[in-house]
Amino acid sequence: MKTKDLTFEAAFARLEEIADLLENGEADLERTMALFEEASRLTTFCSEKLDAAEKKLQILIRDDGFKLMDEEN
Amino acid sequence: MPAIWVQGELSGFVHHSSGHFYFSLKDKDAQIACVMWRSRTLGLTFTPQNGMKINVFGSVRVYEKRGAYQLDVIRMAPAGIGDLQLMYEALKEKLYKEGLFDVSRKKLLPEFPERIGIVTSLTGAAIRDILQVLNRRFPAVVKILRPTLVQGEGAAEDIARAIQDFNDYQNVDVLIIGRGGGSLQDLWAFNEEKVARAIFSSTIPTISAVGHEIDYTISDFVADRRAPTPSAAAELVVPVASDLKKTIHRLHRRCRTSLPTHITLRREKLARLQKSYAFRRPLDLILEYKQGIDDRFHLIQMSAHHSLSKNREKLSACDKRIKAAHPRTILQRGYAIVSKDRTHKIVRNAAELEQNEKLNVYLGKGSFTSTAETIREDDSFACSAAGTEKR
Repeated sequence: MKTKDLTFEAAFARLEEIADLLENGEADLERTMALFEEASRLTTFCSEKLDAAEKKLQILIRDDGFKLMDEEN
Repeated sequence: MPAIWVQGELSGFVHHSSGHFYFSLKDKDAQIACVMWRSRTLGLTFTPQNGMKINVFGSVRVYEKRGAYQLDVIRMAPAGIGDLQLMYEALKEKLYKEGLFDVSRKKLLPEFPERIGIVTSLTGAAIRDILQVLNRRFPAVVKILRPTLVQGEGAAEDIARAIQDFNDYQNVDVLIIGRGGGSLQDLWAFNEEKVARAIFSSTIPTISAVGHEIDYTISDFVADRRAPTPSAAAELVVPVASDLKKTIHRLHRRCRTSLPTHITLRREKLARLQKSYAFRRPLDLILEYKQGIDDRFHLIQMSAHHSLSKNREKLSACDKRIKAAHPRTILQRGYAIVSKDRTHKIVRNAAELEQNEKLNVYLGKGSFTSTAETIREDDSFACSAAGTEKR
């Protein structure tokens, strides 16, 4: 699992959480605006992930370490 | 010699015109000639073929013409399937008892995997099927194949190693392990203990995807999820990106539409506060005081008015009484005041008078002097006077 970046799964979960929070209307105005901005960023992030171009099959090769090679067709 | 079971590979098979079977049974170290007389072949449910692994039941005889041992076969059955089935059941039982199939040990598959590891043959149908489905559903997902043998010698070891490779590599979210359909022998690698243990040890969630629907392999039981086919594994491992995109935009819309809602909610809350008792209270107090002042003012007005008119009445009553009490008023009604001329003392009783005493008589209007001639000390005058009044 990649941990250095935000994962799609984490972004999606956070987006759901924010939608709930905003619908509750409990947060004050300042927090509401911050949450909304975060939601917009997450939406962009997720959309980009979903829209990304088709990834080609890669082959895992174990040498000294690991390397990935594009499949030769 | 007693009859025995012997297992080996069928070779040099001859179905003689006499109806008898002549063949050899061999393994990699030895072989023995066999004969199965026609009468004994009639109940066979399969057609013997060279290369087939079989079990035969018979007794060893010496074929005197050649001076060689041969097996007089009484019964014959294909070995492969029965034995594999037995091994399969035995291993299944063993691993089940060890807890390798425990539901509690199964890992959840990630909901949105970004990198998928695949363990199968580079050239088989399975990888083509998997890629086709993944690219249709979620093209952007990263697909990494560790190619392996999927059948025959060394396949199980290769598959087990591939699973270990991915676990050492770590950079995938989920593993698909499988191959397309085939005979029990073809699928056998996925029934081997090595593969089962590799799957069980995997820290990465696993999907077993072997064969076509009806085949259950040991791998299927050990893996975190079982898919009936490689295509099905690809179906269940990723969501449909376009559906997910709709979901994400719906979530964002929920966030957006809740903003005006948020403001409306604030406004309503404010309105509620304004209407609340605490906020209304000061104004109420003022209104209450104002009303109190009005009430009191009214009372004062009322009472002032009241006491004024009452006093006026009193005054007028006093006036009347004073007027009524005035001696002149009485005199006007016909009475007279008599006073002694000498002492000015008012005479109230005839006995006070002296004969021929000079008196002053005051009337309602005017006065005159008079002299007391006849003095009568009884009340006859009064009666007479009253009588006069009545006239």
